[in-house]
Amino acid sequence: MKLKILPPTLREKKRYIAINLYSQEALEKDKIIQILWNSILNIHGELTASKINLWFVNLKEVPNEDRYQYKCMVKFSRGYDKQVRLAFNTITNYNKNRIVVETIGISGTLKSLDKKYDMR
Amino acid sequence: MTNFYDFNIYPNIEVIERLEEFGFEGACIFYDTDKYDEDAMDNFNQLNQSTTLKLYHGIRINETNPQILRRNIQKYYGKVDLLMAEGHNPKVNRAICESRQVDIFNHPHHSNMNNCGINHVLAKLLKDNNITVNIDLGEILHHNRFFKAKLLNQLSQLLLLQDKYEFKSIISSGSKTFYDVRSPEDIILLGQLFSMDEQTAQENISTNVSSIINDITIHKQSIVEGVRIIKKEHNI
Repeated sequence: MKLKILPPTLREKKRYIAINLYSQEALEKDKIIQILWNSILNIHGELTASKINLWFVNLKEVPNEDRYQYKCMVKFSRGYDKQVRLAFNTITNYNKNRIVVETIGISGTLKSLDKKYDMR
Repeated sequence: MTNFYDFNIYPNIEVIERLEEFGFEGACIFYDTDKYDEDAMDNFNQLNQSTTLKLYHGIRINETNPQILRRNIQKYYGKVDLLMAEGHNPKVNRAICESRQVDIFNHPHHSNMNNCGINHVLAKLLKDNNITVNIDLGEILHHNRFFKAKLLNQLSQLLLLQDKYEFKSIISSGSKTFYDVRSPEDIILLGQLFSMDEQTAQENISTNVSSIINDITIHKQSIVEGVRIIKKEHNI
């Protein structure tokens, strides 16, 4: 039997971040998730990473002549905006593949993030 | 509105375009002493014409011998906008701190892994000689685990000395490629890595850099130490 969904007041408070990921080589969704999680684990450690509770929501490839560009939406716990942005800023490479992550914006709902930055 | 500057980049059009995109006001391109020739100047002029950024050029002096270092400082002083000296062993670091012509001191913690490369004596000299210490974000981001932790510790030591002796510091990205460039907001956030508060981090990429730019004109007008030519307009 499926568990009944929690009432909104008891649910974990969350925020959504929109990022632009530029890469020299093509990346799959799983790799991107690994890169983002590793950045948080490396900078903040396991304890804070557990509190941040990162969840990958959506990936969209954007046509770019010079390099691969992906727009991603990521969910995390409310109150950890700076930690998440800081961790994403420290990403430089993945197996000799140069990568850079640029934060586009942070929002409280998926709908507004999508509306503002055309994420889907 | 605050003007932001990135004062340590490599000559690359992609980097300059990206800085422009992020809304930086100016940048300084540093050339190594062995690569600084007429071609480099032509390249700089081309880059300068292709952008709306205020571009400055400088020389990066990387010597392990204090005597050769002093000779190079004398050789290039006045010919370029800025002089940057790379730190090495304590003797080289001392020579850099004693030289008034040097504008920026890069990597004071270069080869000595146990301390930040600056002690209280050198910190006083930095303040007296108006030398700015450069914090290179690129170096921090490209190191991993043990080396990153060590580097961040050295920077924390440096900031402790800065609190007491009040020498100037700037933060730069040290960008070689498109992937190294960070926005002003991101640079301010990255300051948290070495426990720098947001206000100080902002000053490090705006106010402190502006004061270096003011010093450029003073350097160009000065004949010898303490003597400057001030051009006065005659009203007829």
